[in-house]
Amino acid sequence: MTAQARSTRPLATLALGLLAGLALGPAPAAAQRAESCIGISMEVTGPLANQGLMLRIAIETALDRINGAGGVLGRPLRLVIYDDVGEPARAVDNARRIGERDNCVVMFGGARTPNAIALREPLAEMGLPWIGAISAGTGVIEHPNGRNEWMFRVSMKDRWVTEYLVQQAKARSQNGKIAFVYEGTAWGQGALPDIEAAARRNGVALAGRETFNIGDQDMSAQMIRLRDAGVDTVVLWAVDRESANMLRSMDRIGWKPKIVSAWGLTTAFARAVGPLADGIMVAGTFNWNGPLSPEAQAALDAMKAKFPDRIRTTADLEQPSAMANAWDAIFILAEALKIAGAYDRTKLRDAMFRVNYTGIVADYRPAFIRGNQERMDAVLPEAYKLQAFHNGMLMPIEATPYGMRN
Amino acid sequence: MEAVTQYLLTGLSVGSVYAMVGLGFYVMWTAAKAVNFNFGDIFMLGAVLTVVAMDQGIPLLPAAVLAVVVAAIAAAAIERGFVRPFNQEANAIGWMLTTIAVGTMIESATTALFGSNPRGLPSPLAESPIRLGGAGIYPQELLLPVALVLVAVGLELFYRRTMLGRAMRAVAWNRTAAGLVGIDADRITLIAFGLAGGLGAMAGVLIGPVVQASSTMGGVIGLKGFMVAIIAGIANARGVVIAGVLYGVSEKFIEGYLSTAARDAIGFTLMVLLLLLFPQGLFGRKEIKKV
Amino acid sequence: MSGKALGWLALALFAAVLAAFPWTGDLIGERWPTSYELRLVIRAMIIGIVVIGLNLLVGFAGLVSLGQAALYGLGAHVAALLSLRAGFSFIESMAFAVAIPAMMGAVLAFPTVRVRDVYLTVITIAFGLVFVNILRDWVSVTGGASGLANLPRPTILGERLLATRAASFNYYYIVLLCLLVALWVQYAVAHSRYGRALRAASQSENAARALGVNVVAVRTLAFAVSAGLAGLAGGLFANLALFVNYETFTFTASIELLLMVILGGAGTMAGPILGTGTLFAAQQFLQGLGEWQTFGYGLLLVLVLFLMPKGIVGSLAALRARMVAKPEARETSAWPNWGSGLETITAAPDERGQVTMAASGLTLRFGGLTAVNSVAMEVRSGTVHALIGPNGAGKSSLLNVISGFYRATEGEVRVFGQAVANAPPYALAKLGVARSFQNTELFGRMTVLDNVLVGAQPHFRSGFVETILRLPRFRREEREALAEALRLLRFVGLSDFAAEEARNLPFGHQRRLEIARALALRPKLLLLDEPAAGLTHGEIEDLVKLIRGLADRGMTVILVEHHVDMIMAVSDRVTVLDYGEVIADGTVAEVQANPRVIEAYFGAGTGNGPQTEQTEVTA
Repeated sequence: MTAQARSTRPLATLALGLLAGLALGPAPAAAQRAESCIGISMEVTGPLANQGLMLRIAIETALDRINGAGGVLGRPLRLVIYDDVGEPARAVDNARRIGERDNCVVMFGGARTPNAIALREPLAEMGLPWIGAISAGTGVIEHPNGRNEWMFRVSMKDRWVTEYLVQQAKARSQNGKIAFVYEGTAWGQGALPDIEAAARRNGVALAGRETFNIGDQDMSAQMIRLRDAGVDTVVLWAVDRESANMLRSMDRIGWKPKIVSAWGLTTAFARAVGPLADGIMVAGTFNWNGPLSPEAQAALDAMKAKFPDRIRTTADLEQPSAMANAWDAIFILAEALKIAGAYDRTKLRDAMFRVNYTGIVADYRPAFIRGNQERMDAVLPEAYKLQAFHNGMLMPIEATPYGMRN
Repeated sequence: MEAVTQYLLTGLSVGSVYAMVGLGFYVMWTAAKAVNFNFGDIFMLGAVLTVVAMDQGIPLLPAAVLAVVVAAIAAAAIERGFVRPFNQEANAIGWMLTTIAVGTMIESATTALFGSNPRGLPSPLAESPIRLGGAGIYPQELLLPVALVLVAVGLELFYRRTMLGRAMRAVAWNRTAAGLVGIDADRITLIAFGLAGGLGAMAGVLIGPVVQASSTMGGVIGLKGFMVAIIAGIANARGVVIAGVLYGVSEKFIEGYLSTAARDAIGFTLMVLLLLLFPQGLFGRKEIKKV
Repeated sequence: MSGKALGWLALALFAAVLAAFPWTGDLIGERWPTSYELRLVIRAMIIGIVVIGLNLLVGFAGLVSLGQAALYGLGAHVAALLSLRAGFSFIESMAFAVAIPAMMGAVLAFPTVRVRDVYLTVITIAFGLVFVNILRDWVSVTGGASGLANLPRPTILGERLLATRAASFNYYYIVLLCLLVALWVQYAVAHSRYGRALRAASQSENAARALGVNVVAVRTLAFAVSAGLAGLAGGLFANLALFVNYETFTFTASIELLLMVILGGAGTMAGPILGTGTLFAAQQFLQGLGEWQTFGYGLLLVLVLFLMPKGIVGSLAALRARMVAKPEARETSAWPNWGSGLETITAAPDERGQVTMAASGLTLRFGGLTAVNSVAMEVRSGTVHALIGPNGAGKSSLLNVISGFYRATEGEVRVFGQAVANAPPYALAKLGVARSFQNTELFGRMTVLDNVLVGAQPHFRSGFVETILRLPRFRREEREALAEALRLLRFVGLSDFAAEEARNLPFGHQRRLEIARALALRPKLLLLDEPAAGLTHGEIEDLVKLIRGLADRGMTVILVEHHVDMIMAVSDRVTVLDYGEVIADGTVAEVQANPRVIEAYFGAGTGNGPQTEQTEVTA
C-alpha cells in the first residue's frame, strides 16, 4: 500500500532517504563524546519499587568501590536515576533523556522486561549502549530482526531459564505430570513459548498451563484443575505476593506439588507464607548464603556498610541474583571503559566485546561475543544455580535437605 | 463436586471482602451522597497498620484494634478535609478527584515507608485450613462472613433504633431539612465516614493474614466494593451484603468454568448489564422524580 | 481588545510558538530541543487532543467519564494492528483509528446517558477495566501484556514520517495540525446548538427536553466526538512510539486525563491546553523527588483542587472579571413589549377556535396513588384555559402528561389532532408545545441570551458537518436565531441583561426569561405552570397582559394557577380539578358559582366560592 507514490517523486524521496541515512547512520558516531555518567531508568516508585531499591543498593556500592579506587579514566562515574514506574513509555522517555539531555556514556536497565524491549529502537537510534541486570526476557537481547547492536545483559535469559527449569522439573517429577503456572504480565506471558519449546526439546508433555493476574488473591480454580489433572511438579513463573496467595490456595485444597520457580520468588515470599515455602526451589545466578569468594564477601560487607539500615543480614538482599548481576555488570562496564580509552559511546560498545573479567557470578571470558546476539548475554546457563527455601532462608540447594537425593 | 464446594467457600470469603467494603461505601453514600473514592486504601491501611504495629512488638489483637481505629480516624479526616469542602456542588467531580488524589498520596507514602513487598500478617487462624473433602478454607476466612452478618444486622438496628442512626438517615434524605430540625449534618457525615472507615479497615485486618499485606492491595478491591454497592442499589445493608457475596461467588465460578484470565472482564460486563436492567440497583426502590 | 479577539490572538501565538519550537536550536545555537524534549512536546500535544475530547464530555455535557484512556488505547491498538498485521497505510489506519473508537463511544453512550452522575462514572470505569483486561489477556491479537512492538514506520505518499530533523520534523507538524483541528472541533461544537444543548442538558435536563433537545442523541454525539478525538490521538501515539501495550491506557491514565481537564478549567476553550501542559511540566519537575514523586503529585493535585477549583482558565477569568468589572447601568424595560417582528408569535398560527389539545379518559397512576382520574378536557386555539384546584389535585401531573414528561396509564391526549401517548418531551416541543416549570428551570450557568437560544433548537436544519465546517446555511441559521433571541429579549424587557448569567437574575426577571425561552420555540400551545408564583402585583399585571396578548395572536395557553384575580382576569375557560378528577369545566362565572367547586376549596357549609376579595387560595 505504500508502494504507490514512490515513482512520482523519485528525487525528493532520494534526497530524503540520503538525509535519513545520514541522520541515522554515521551521525551517532560523530557525536559520541559522552559524560561520565550511567543513566538508569527503573522502578523507583510503583509495585516493583523494592526491586529498584535493591538494584540501586548494589550499583551505588559498586560505584563507590570503583570511584574510591580513582574512578575510570581518571574521572568518577556518576549515577543518574530516573523513575519509570515500570511503564515502558516512560522508560523510552528516560532513555532519550539519558542519551540526549544528560548525554551519558551508557544506560543501565531496570527490572521489567517490557520496558527493556521498548528501548530497542530508541537505543539504536541514539547509539546508546545499554546494560541490564534483571529484565530476563529473551527478546530483550535477541531482537527479532537479528541485529542487536547496543543492548548487553549480565542476567538470566528466559530461554535458558525455561530449559533449566524444565530439566529440573523433569528430574524431580515422580509421575511425569508437569504444569506451568505463570503470571499474566509480559514477563510471565513471554515465558510461555519458551517453556513450550523447552518441554518439547526435553520430551515433556505439559499436563497443565495456568495463569493469574497481578493483584489476584485466590487461585483455587487454577489449583483445582491442576490437582485434578494429577500434576505433581509445577514450574512457577511469578513474583512474591501472588505466589504467596497461590501457595495458600494450594494449602486450602491440601495439594503440595514440587515447585521449581524462576527468580520471581525472594525472601519476602518466604516471610509471607512461613513454613509453606519450605522446599520450593528457585533458579538464580547467585546466592549470598553459604561460602563466599573474597570478592563476594567484600561486596556484601560494602553494601552492609553503605546501607546499614536496609542491609543487615543476607536475608535483606531481597533480589540476591539481581544484585550480584548488577555488581558484575558495573565492573564489566568499568573494564570496557578502560579498554575503550575514552568516554565515547561507540568505542565503549566496541570495547564490551573485548572484556574478559572474573566476577562474583561467573568467569566472563569473554563477556560478550560480537556478531552473535545470543551471546550478548554474559551469564551462561552453566552458571545458573538452584536454590531452595529452608527455614525462611533462600539457600543453595546443597545446603538444604532438598537436593537431588530426595 | 469438590470443585464446586471450593468455589462456594472461596467465593464466600472473597465476596465477604467485597460486601464489607461495599457496606462502607453504603454508609458513606447514604450520609453524604459522596464517598471516598479511594476507600480501598483504607482497607489496605487496616492490614498494613496492623503489620506495622506488630513490628513494634504489639500483639495481634491490640494491633488490629489500633489499626482499625487509626484508619477510621483517617477516613473521618478525609471527609472533613477533602470531601466536605467539595460536596456543595451538584456534580461529583470535586470530591471524586480530591479523594483520588488523597488515595494516591496514601498509597505512595505507604510504598515509600512500608516498601512494596508483601508482608505476612501472622494469625493463628490462618495457619492450617479446615478441610471439607477436597476443598478447604482457613478459619480466618470464616471470620469475615460472620462479621459481615453482625455488621449488617447491627447497621439496620442502628439506623432504625438509635437516635444517631435515624439522624444519619435524615441527613441522607434531605440535608437541609435535617439541619432545620436541629441535626448537625456535618458532624453526622463525619461520624458516618469514620464508621465506614472502620468497616473497611476491619475487612483489611480480617483478610490480611490470608492474602498478605501490601501497599497496593487496596486498589481493585475498592473499585469492586464500590460497584457492588451500586449494583445493590445502595439502598439497604442486606442488599449490599447479598450482592457482594454473590459477586464473589460468581467470580470463582467464572474462573472455574469460563476463564481465569477474563474473569474481571466478564464480571464487570455483567455488572454493567445489571445496572442497565436495574437502573436503581438490584435491591433499590425506583425513585419517581417530580418534574 | 475584546475577549474573543484576545482568544484568537492567543491561539495564533500558541500555534506559532509550537511551530517554531523544533527549530529553537538554530536560533540559540545549542542542541536543544533534543529528541527527548521534542518527543515530550509531541506526546503532550497528543494527550492534549484526548483532553480536548474529554473536555467536551465533562466540561460541556457534564458527563464525567473515567474511561477515556480506554478509547485512546482503542485508537492506538486499531492503528497498530492495521498497520502491523494488515499492512494498512498511515492514512488508512488513522481513519479507522478515529472511526472505530467513535463508534465505540456511541455504543458506550447508550448505557451511560440513561443513568446519573456517579453511576455513569462507574460504568465508564468498568468499561476501561474490561478493555485493559482484554488487552492484557487476548495474547494472540493484542500481544498480551507485552503488547505490539516493531510497528512499521508511518509514511505518507512514500515519505517517512519521523520526529527528527532529517525529516524536517514532519511528524511533529502532523501532530500539531491534528491538535489545531481538535481545537477547532471543540470550538465549533461549543459555539453551536450542540454546545448549547449539551450545557443545557447538564444544567436542567427537563427544561432542555421541553425545549426540543433530544438529550440522549446529543449526549451520544458528545461521546462519539470525544471518542473520535481520543482515537485520533491514539493513532498518532502508536505511530510515534511504534510500540503499544496496555500499560499506557490504564485507569490511572484515565484519572490523569480527567485531572488535566479540571486543572485547566472544564468547559473552557483553552483549559485542555493549559491543563495538559501544566501537568506534563509538573511531572518533569517532580522527578527530582525520587520515591516521593507520586506523593508529591497527589499533593500537588490536592492543592490545585483546593486553590483553583475552577481550573486555571476559570480562575484567571474570574480574576479578570473582578478587575475589569465596572458597574453597568442595566435597565429593565417594561413588558410585554410588542414591537416589530412579534405580530405573530408562532410560526403558523391556527385559526381561532380550533381544538388544540383534547384529553379523554386520561388517567395517571403512581403505584397506589391515582394522580389523574379519567380527565376529559378540551382546549381551543386563541384562548386561555386555566386549570385550577386545591394543592395535590393533579394539575401539574396533568400538565406533565400533556408535555410528555409522564406517560398516562390510561386514556388519550391529542395535540394538534395527533395522538401523543408516548411522545417524549422533545418531540412535543418540535410539534409546537412549550412549557414553563413550577421551579424555574433555567440554565443557571448559561447567559440569558444563550438560554433563549436553546429554545431555537428545533428550528435548525443544518447538521453536524455543516456546523463543524461553518458552512453558509449554518451561519445563516445562527444569525437568524440570534436576531430572534434578541427580539424576544426586547419583548420581555431583558435586553440589557443578555450577557448576564441566568442564575444571577432577580426572581421576577427569571420568570420573564423563562417565558422568552419558551417563546423561542415558536409554540402553538403554551403550558404555564404557576407562572405568577412569587411575583409582585405589578408583575402579575404585566403577565396578564402578556398572556392575553399571546392568545389574541393565535396561541393556545393552558395556565395552572392559584392566583384567583389573575385567573379571573385572563381566562376564557376554567377547568377545576380535585383529587385528580374534573369537578367543573366552563367559563369563569360558571365555575365561580359551582357548588362542588366551593366545597372543594372551602369545605361543605359555606356559600361562597373563590372571591376576588379573598387573598390567594391555598388549600
